[in-house]
Amino acid sequence: MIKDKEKLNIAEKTDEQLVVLTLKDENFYSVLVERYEEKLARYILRISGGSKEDVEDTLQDVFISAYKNLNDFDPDLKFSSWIYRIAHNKVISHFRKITARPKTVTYEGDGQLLNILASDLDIARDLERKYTGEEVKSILGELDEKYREVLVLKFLEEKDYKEISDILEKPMGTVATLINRAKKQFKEKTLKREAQTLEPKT
Amino acid sequence: MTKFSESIIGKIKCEHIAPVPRWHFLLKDSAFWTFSVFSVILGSLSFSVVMHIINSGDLDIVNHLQGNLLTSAVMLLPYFWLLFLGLFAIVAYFNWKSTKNGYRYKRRWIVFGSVALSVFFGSVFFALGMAKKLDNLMTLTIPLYNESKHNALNELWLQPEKGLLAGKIIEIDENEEKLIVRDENGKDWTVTDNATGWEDSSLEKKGKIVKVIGRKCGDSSFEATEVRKCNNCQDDEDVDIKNKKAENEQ
Repeated sequence: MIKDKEKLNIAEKTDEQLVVLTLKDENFYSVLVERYEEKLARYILRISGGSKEDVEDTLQDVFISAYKNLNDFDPDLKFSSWIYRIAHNKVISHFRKITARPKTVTYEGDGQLLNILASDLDIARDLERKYTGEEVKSILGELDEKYREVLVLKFLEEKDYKEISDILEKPMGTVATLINRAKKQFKEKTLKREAQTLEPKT
Repeated sequence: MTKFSESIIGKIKCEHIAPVPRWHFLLKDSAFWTFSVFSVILGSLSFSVVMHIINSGDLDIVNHLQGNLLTSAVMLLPYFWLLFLGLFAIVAYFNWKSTKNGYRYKRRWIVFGSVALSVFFGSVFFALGMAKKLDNLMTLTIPLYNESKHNALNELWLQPEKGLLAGKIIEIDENEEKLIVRDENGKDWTVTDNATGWEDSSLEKKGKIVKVIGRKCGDSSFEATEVRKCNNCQDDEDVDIKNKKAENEQ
């Protein structure tokens, strides 16, 4: 177990320092798990739309897989990018096997999503006026998976381009293109919805 | 410690899970790098052979041929090697992509980089004479390659109506200034060479395979204006070796 004296210093340790410590003593890994369990659970839920049990299983797999591969951690990367990448890959392998299942993407507790995304799209006023958080959630659920992923990382996980590039293992230029296309698709879907609501009912 | 982190540590301890050793990852990454480099080397060799075949001098006889330049040039180019070059560029791309930081580069740049490196090193290999050695080796060891090479050669150089002829010198009549050249089909041609420019005087030997440019002036007679060596004819090399051996024995 981690000694009391060490416990006091642990909070000051960076993730990367904790990786080095974990390789010497597995107990230090609990600190990394604590730092990331909530963030990753939310991320997995956001991109997978799985049940609570599915998310927990995936999360456990992510941490066990990360532990096994600790020696492969590249210090040039942020630890967060590296573990998000593992989570991303686990979600792909876990949830894409069951793509036939109807997917409901969950954005619970993402009240800020509407404002962040809308202000970036320059359609803030329209969205505020016409769409509820529930509707925005439903629009996001309609987006292509690759677009939804980048929007989640950019606007909800607040990752920068470099981090998204490291997580998705795509060049930065491709990430920028994906984000632009995702925003465009999001905007198209909102406009389509708007047109539908304006149509006179017969 | 949260309940979840406790369960993770518990699982690690209970199942004796340990981090995979570092050497395992180093080995994996090195393997991808090695395959990438190897693919570029093979691509370079392919390109050097392309250069070698272009250097055989066949490209500049395109003027002698009717039809469009592109078709003729394509006929001359060894698609085989170009295909290899493309194939190795793709293999290099997939290996590079699998290295730790490979994902940071766009596909087009990796493929372009691989081809550019192959062109650069291919030129170096060509300058070092490796292309000819490889071409000869392939000709000797792979019958299909040998056959397709000869087919390509015949397609281009067995066109006496268009003033192109290739074959082995089987007789030299210095008084009459005539050669007997046997083409790939086994037909003997009487080639008048009184107004002929020889690319290399060492070519004027029995057993040499030559390419003749001129005009057909009879059923089996040909008037040469130029005699070239056949750079990519393996038989040529064999004859040289035999001649040298015979000279040494004498």
